[in-house]
Amino acid sequence: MAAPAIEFAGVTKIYERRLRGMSVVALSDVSFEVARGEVCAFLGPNGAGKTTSMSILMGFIYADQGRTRVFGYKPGDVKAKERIGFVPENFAFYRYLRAEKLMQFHLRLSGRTPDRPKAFINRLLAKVKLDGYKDLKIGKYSRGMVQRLGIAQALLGDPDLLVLDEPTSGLDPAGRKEVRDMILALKAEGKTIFLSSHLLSEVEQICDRVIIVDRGRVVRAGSLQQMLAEGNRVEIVVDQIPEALEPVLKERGASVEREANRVRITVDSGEKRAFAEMLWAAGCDVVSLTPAKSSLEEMFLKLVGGGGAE
Amino acid sequence: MKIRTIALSTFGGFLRNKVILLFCSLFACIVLLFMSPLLAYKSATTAANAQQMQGMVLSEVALVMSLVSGFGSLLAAWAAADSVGGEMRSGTILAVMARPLRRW
Repeated sequence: MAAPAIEFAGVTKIYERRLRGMSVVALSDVSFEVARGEVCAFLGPNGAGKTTSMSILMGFIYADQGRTRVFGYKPGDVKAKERIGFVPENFAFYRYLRAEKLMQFHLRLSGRTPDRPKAFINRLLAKVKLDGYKDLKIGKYSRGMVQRLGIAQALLGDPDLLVLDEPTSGLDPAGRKEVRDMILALKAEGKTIFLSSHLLSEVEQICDRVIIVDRGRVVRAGSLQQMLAEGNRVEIVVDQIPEALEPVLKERGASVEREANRVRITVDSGEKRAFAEMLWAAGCDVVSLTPAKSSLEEMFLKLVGGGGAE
Repeated sequence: MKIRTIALSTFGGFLRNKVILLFCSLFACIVLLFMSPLLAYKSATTAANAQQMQGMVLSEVALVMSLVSGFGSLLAAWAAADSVGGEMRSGTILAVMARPLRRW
């Protein structure tokens, strides 16, 4: 069986501040896997350990304990890096270079030798809509343009895995949509994408799997669909309900939300049948009965308590 | 190939460092100053002191060469240290470190 794209098993990282005699536990026994071809979001409040995990994954720093593998190789191994494209948070480039020169520089470092390098670079720049700005120095680029250039350079080595640290931060809504579409297109090509983001509504739109970390620990990991659907509530939609029935429903723990042409009643899953029968008996026309989906944001806030680590 | 690419990039960054350029200019002036006696040696050379003058010229050239060599080494170390430090400060090093390059 092929090794997963990313594998973290019991990874611990402690930053020692010897002069102050302090130690900060950045990651504590973190374990998760990301399968090939998945789009996986790595979520957590500020200081939760996301960037530390990504740095370990890229081989920039070493874990104190545990096992980390990228396509079966140790992080930092040249063979692993040949298969990774990385866009760091707050991406920075040589401001005095032009996009084409920068791409040439990174293409040489990637070790890839396309038949026509210039055409290949132009194609990638066109893909991120920067082909019209080739003569402009990077120092004059907007934040969104730099971010797009970051994604273009990450694609230079035709990577199997893309590691994106806050890929849409600092982008306007149009820019965010472009990046989102690009991620979906890359997913369709079969690439594995591991990204961190604070924009949970976007994560909901593009990710298959979510890993939530808080204070250096994984607090939740699983498929997004499963996570959103597994609330213990069911939503019953009816055409209308008699006025007198509403207080009775509320008394039994249901929440009632009236809309123009229908009424949404959310109840505990275990009581759905009793409520449905009660509504039916009262002459209501039950339009639908579906598991109530909570948003990723609601789940995230419930898990991490809405506060970042100190 | 990859080392050459990084070396060229470092050199490009080096040429944009105004402090280093000023330092290089000062050094060039010092070297020229040291070499100026060579002009006088030629006019002062006669058949009687030719051998003595040749020795003096050689020692002058050796001094200049050792100065250039010492300064060149210093400059190379400076450029490398400044390049790594500068890239870490600006964050450009992350994109380079993510490339399939061996650390050692």
